[in-house]
Amino acid sequence: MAKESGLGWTTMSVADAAAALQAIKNDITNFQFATPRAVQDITGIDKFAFERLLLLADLSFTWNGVFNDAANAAHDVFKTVPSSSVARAFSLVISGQTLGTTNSPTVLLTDYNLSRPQDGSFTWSVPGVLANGAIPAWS
Amino acid sequence: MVSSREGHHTVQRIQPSMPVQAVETFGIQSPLDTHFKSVSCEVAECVRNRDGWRTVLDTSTVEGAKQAKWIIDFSGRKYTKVEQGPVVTFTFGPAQQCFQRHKQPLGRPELYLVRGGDWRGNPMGTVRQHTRPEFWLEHSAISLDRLSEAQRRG
Repeated sequence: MAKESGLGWTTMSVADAAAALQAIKNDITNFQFATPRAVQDITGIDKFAFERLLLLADLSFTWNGVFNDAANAAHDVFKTVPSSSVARAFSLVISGQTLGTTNSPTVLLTDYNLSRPQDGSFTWSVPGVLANGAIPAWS
Repeated sequence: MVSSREGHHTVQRIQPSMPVQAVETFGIQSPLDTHFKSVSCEVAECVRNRDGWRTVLDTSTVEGAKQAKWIIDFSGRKYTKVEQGPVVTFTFGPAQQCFQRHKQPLGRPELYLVRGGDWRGNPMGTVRQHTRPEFWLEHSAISLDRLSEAQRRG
């Protein structure tokens, strides 16, 4: 792998309700996804059907960021979360590798919560779960 | 659906099927305090700065009265005011700073973390911070590949 700087995260795009990916990395303070760590320890090697059910239900995502109501920025993308039930595509690029393209995973977003605490910051949090069962892969 | 805390936020999530001990979380963080700077409305391409905006306050409430007093006495913005009973509408013209604190990233390297558990907590307290993004990428790739393989076999 070529030598790279510490600035590995170059892209974070999330689809809006019209299924158009919008680059909103500049608005994001925190991105995370939670995966089952040891499926075989939980379900046993002979219980793959149950295991698959767990995989679909338990690959979850969270985006956190700062409010930005510019065109096609974070608010434009997430303001339709309460009013639509569209599964969203996403694209994450780190060190030249892309997550979210291969297998075409989609995420069902379950909230768009805005908060303005005492420090004056105006931030949002958006959780979601894997919607279509396509496990994301780096490519 | 369950309610959970995410920093200052209370968000609605789908209840996971697996126990918290059986999951791990891959995260990338650019903390607001260290990785972002405050910028003006012009830099942030703020629509309120471009088009103007309205602030509607109910002065019969303590909070509304405080905010109205602050706008009148301390905000320093130019506005027109219309009162309809206790409801006061302030209309602000364009080309002045809105009340939001806009933020933009400083471009510092992000923090690449892997920790036990998920939003429900980290009962085993395991946290690992990768020194380079490609190490975090490799770690997450191994985990996702394992899930894909389990799904393919299932």
